[in-house]
Amino acid sequence: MNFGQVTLQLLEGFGTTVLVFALTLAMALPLGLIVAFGSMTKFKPLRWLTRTIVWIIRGTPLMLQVIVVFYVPGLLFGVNFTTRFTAVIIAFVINYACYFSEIYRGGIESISKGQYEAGQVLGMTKAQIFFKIVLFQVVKRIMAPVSNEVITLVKDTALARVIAVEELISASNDIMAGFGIIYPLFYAGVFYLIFCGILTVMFNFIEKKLDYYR
Amino acid sequence: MPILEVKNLKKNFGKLEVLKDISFSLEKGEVLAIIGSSGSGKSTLLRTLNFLEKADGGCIIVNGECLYDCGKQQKSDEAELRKKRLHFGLVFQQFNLFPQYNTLQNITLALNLQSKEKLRKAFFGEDKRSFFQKLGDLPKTIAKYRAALRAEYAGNTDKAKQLIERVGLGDKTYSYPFELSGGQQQRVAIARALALEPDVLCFDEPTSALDPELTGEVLKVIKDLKKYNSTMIVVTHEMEFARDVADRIIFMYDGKIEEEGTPDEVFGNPKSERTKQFIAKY
Ligand SMILES: Nc1ncnc2c1ncn2[C@@H]1O[C@H](COP(=O)(O)OP(=O)(O)OP(=O)(O)O)[C@@H](O)[C@H]1O
Ligand SMILES: [Mg+2]
Repeated sequence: MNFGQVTLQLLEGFGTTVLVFALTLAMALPLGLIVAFGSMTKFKPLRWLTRTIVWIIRGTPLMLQVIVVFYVPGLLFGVNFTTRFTAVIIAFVINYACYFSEIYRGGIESISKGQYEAGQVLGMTKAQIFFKIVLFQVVKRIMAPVSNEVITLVKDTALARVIAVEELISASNDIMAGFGIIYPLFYAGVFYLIFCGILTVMFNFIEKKLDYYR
Repeated sequence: MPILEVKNLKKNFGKLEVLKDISFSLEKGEVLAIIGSSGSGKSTLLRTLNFLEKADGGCIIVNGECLYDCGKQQKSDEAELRKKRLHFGLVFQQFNLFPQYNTLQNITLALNLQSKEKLRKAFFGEDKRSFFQKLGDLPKTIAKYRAALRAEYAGNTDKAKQLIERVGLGDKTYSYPFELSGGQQQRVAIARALALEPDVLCFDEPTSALDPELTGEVLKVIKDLKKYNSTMIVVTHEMEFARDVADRIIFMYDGKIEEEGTPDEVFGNPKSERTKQFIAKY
């Protein structure tokens, strides 16, 4: 197998990696906000239910969750509800939504009561206070932890292979096993490095944009 | 008719009675200074008037309209509450400006939101025509709505700029709070509260968080507001200022009004022993 062929095959795996990454982010970022509200609600049963779920998800390996989402419905009901790829997405979205929710919660709780009260005495609604005053300040504060989480996600996508979804690592593995060459594995590493590098540059840019006030 | 009447106002935090039977009234354009030692309930009184805390008894009447009456069933609907709050303004000790907005935006934010709400209702609310008629007109309606909104926003900006001039910050119109001194921030906060034209503007120790050399500029702004006939309640530890600016003084002690009168009465010839002791400290 020559270098060009290896590159093509890795790119194919990389496509899946990017897709898992993008779909997870697109769904987990907003879902995390909903989970964060759930874990802060004044309605206690819902709050404890949400916090328990977050605890379980954050307290167990993502790899295990991927396996559970894919196999358990089949074991329980005798039917597979999901394709392998969908199972990966479901597990990743739930997992990352829980991590994001904790970051959001920390950010939201760090906004001083005075900001809410200032909005209230100006006759603003709760929604206006959240979206026009609080949210932006939260975004600024959580940018660093969120970017960490996003970079971690890039590498976590490799877990998709536990249920045989062909992503970048498994693509390089296949070449290694099939042709007895080892460099594709390191080559795959370069893909991750470049991907993370681009993300880092993007996050730095956003953080700089948000830096116009303190 | 007084602009504000407070009758037998009560507020408890759990078992702690913080306001016990507070009654007073205020005429339009009057300035009331509230003094008293720490923990006597001054902040709680202002917060209760601004509906940041819910009173536990008594009533609050503004311009003859009863905003809160413990005897009656209260609607706790958010829209009602917001309307009630708009009768009052509150300037906080810690300013509480919105850090991501500049001076102008801090002042116009609430105004613009109100304009939007008002115009949405006017253009898209109570429209009794049939669905298809409305749909046919939709592009035209949206264009008209947009134009009206722009006009309102421009008006709000003008108004905000006038207020910024009035508090002497014309050169700071586009500065962010972190670029302003404490005194300047507090003046922005005052302009922000004034923009909504409250019936009664409340100040909770507006200069306590400031360096001594910055208190003067803020107190001067508050004093100037008297010229515009603003009705104000100022909680303050600045006795000089209270004496100079207030029409009436209330001395609070342990959740009650211990003494009330003109500055000359309260400072010159206090009736209560506690008032005497308190004033002697300054
Ligand atoms: N949210 C609250 N929960 C419980 N107790 C409170 C709360 N807010 C205020 N208190 C108590 O109510 C009392 C009056 O407080 P308040 O802040 O009104 O005093 P103050 O006169 O403004 O004092 P200061 O001059 O220190 O600002 C204090 O004993 C305080 O501990
Ligand atoms: Mg106080």
